[in-house]
Amino acid sequence: MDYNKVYDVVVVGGGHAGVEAAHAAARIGASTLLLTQSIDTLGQMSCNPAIGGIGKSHLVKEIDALDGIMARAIDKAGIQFRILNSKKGPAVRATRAQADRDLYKTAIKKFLYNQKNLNVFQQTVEDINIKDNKITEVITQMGLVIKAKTVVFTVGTFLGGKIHIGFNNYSGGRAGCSASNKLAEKLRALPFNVSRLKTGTPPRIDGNSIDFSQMVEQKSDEPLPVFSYLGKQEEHPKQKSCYITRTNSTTHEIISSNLDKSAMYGGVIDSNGPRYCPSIEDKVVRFSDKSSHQIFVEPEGLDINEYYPNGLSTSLPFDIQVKYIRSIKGFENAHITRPGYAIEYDFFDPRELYPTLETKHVGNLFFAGQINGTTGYEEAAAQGLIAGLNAALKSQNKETWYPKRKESYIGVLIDDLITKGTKEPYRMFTSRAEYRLSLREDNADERLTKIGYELGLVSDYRWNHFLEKYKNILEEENKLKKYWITKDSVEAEKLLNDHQIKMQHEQNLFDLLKRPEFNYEILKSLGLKLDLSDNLDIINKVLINAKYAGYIIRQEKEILKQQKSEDTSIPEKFDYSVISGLSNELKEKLSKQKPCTIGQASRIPGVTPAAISLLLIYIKKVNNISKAS
Amino acid sequence: MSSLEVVKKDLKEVEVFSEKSDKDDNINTTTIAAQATPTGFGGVGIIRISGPKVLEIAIKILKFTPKPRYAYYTNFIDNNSDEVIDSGIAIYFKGPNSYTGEDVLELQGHGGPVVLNKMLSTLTYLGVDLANPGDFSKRAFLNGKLDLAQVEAVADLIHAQSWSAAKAAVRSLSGEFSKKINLMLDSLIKLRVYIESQLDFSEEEIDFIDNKKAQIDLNKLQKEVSNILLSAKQGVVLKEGINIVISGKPNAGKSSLLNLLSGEEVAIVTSIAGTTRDILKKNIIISGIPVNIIDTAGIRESDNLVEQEGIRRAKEEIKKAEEVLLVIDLDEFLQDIKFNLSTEEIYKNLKQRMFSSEIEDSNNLTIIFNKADIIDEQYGIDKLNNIVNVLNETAKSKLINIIFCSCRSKSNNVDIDKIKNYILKKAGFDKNNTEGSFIARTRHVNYLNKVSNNLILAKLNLEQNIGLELVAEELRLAQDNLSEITGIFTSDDLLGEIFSTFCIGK
Repeated sequence: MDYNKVYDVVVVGGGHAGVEAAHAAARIGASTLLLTQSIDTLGQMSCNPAIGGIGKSHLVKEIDALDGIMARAIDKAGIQFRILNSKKGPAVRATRAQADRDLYKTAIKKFLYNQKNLNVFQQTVEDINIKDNKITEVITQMGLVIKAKTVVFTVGTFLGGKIHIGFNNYSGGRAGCSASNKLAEKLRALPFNVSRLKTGTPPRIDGNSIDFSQMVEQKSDEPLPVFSYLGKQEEHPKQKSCYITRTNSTTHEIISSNLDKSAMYGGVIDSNGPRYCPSIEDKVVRFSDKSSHQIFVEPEGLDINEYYPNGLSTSLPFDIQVKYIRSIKGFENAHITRPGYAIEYDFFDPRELYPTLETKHVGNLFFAGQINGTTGYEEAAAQGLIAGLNAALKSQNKETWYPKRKESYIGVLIDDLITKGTKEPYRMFTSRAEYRLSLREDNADERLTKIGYELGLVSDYRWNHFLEKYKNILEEENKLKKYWITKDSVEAEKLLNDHQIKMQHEQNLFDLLKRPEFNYEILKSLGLKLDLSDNLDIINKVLINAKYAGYIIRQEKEILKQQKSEDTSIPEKFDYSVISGLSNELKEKLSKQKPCTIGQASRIPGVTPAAISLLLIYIKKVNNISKAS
Repeated sequence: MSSLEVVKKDLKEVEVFSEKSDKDDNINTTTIAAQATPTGFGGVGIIRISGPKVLEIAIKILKFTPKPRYAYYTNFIDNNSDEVIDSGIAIYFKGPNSYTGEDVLELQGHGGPVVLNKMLSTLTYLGVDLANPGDFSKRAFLNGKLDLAQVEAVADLIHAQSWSAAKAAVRSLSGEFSKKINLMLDSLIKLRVYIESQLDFSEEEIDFIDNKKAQIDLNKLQKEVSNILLSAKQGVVLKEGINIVISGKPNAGKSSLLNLLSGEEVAIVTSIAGTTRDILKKNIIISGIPVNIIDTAGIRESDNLVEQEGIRRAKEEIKKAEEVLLVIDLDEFLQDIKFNLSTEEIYKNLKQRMFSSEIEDSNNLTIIFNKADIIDEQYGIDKLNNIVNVLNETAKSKLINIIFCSCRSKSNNVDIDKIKNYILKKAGFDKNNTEGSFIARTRHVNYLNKVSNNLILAKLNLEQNIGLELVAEELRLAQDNLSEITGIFTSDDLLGEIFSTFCIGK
């Protein structure tokens, strides 16, 4: 049975990658179909109910700068907002929000249903058809054949998903959902390199059974932060607190004496889990000198009285879970509403992807999210956006685009994945970005909105909002740059007397702001005949631009040095075996991975500067020959 | 104005923000320099500089603007101190009419590592990068100055040179220098682990260090760097060349070997009596490369306090040496093993003579069997050949380097050339290599200087309390610069260190 329409883009999976992919494809005008096992789980948060955090919030802001939906949805669903690292500098400053799961899902669903060119359809995909090495159709569980110019797979942990609680295990994509085993089999038969990863969740707890008076309360920050550049505080629902409690030696005792019953330690699971998000078993074993670990008790929603004890993910049997949970302060009478579990799933070596996230083995097929070995809603959404965008561009025969390391965390994420692959679920950290100082939460729009607008991703509304914002910032800066203070002026005297700041020579206000001891309050206290802005966003931005100017210039020089290798592309069918002087190991590695640019090649582990020189010479040779003929 | 035009105009304004640095085109953005003549002492030493900053640099060093393709006899001046480094011929080639196709400056001065290194370090202060092996040829090729037929040759050159340069870099990293660098690297990584984890994992319970402790660590680190720089600049690394200890029993022929090695060049620079009578240092030149030969007394069990001290010092020298030549009188050796030519017996005896506790890496030890000619005279050439074969086999199976020679007959230059070439090769020097190991070492000093600057800025940022991320940035750059000496350290490596140090994950 054929479906009645041929789509430009078909997205398979309605998680965080899938919804961004479908929305992005539809935004640029591609006819898009989003296929999901269940419409009720669109935008579902399977793990902890939070968006953002250090490194991750940068991704969310970038998605927002390209007019994605994650930031706008969390602004409507966030029940606790905080700014992390506020004192450590603007580049590592990060927004984090606790979400009401249902409000979040509702917000996402609204965006999807209100988007032009986008259809949602509840079907499980079980098979695909490939012709001339290109994907052409997907086939659903009821035998429906859907024709597509391009397909994006965002199937998360559903491919061959296996859930472990103690030694019991069963097939499943997340608790309560079935795994996509038929599709997994189909994909495994293709020349992809497939391995397994694992991740875990903690048991959930009934709020009525928790004694919060024994825990430390953690409220939202004031003033209440917002995520989206278009977001407003008024959009936020009522706020709700998180709580902090701790494990103790009894907890650790219970866990270590039952390790042999854990799926991970009992030898049932041997795939890699994330080092930065270890199970409670891992923590007790690996850091046995610590007698206590911090647990964040996070609300699952405003009205749902269920809590997520962050820091207690586990694959121990249910009876042990009950025992150790009840050993924790405030959880003495805790009732577990859902047991914790570990999940193992298939992931595909991301080194077999182009930077557009199209697979190298099957044309027009794109992968995004956990299928590529990442973890986290934000990492998934970021990839979804890029995959959806490029699938749409390709279906319309337009030139593809992907962000680079120098301009975004999304670029860092994709380049890391396709260049180095991953051995554990990949998560973003700010230390992964070599241009960290340039890639800030406050300037994601400055970095990406213009290109997003040119690609057709960004709406006129956002674009005008963006222009207005930067016009104001430019004006404010120009005001400051044009106002000069001489060293024997009244202002200089005031600076010396009130603030012990000595003027050495004539300077304009913007340059004065570059001094570490200088700020806007001092500026305003001088009684200048100048109409300075009161808008905190503008002031903040001007301050960062002034204080970081030197660093940004230096970083730009560093970027410029790299620019040429990033721009030099390697022909797709380049024959590495002809390069004399290149070791066989490197020849093999490069032939297998087929880097797209010299820059990417240079980041492949083991590739030396000398090897890059050789590569450059041979590429030039190939180009010269093809030019001559 | 239509709305489209408004957008276009606005786009231009926004341009200022988002496209500051996309001007890059075909030209290399860096300016590079290297010594174009072979390393070591020579009559003339040529330094070649290529890249966009050449003219600017020419003006700073020559104090005038050179006309293209004119040869000037002039002083080469250190822009910092206004001191004359050398004088010679300067020629400026304006691109594309030059070897590389870029602007090129050639400074033809006097040969000798000290002057040339001074020139190179002056250039690096002016923002010039030291060229990587094959860089000039590479640029020439990429700028269309070499034809396709030459590609293979250029590629081979890069391959060969990077190999020998890498080897040279490894050599200069052995011993004390490497120990210091590695210690410093450890402290740097430790500090970064703390600082980066405060940035990426501030929500975690980590024993964060306070700024005071970080400051103390930074101070220590900076001191370590300046100490290394000091010793490097004093010439321990740069000027003194390779340290070779000649050891062996008295009368094995050590002195003859020393005389032979030094005599021919007649270029003995100094001959300093050691701190004790037992150690004699000689600086000699082999094919233009300075080599320090330390002649030690024979090592043996002794009750004599003075001799014991001498032996202790000899052992110290052996520890520090980059190469140990153990001279053995072949005749005496054969007598010692009572002509029992079994592998075990030979190895046992050699092992005894090797005082193996002092020589950790047998790759740095070479046994020179001297007086092969005597065996020839006494037992005939067949017997000698047989002995040589057996010994060679044994050495090969036990991974010991051995050479046969006869120091007695002065006419036997073949043997001595063999030893000289062997020494040079083991030290990573290659006569045909024009961008050899001195560059590798100068490059180290250059990067250490950069590391030092990064640390100073890191300290400043910490003191002024303007954002931990800026401290982290300087430390990252410090590590990047250090990795030019020690090998790559990626952000993944850093995260690995963090995860193994702290319990991360709430």
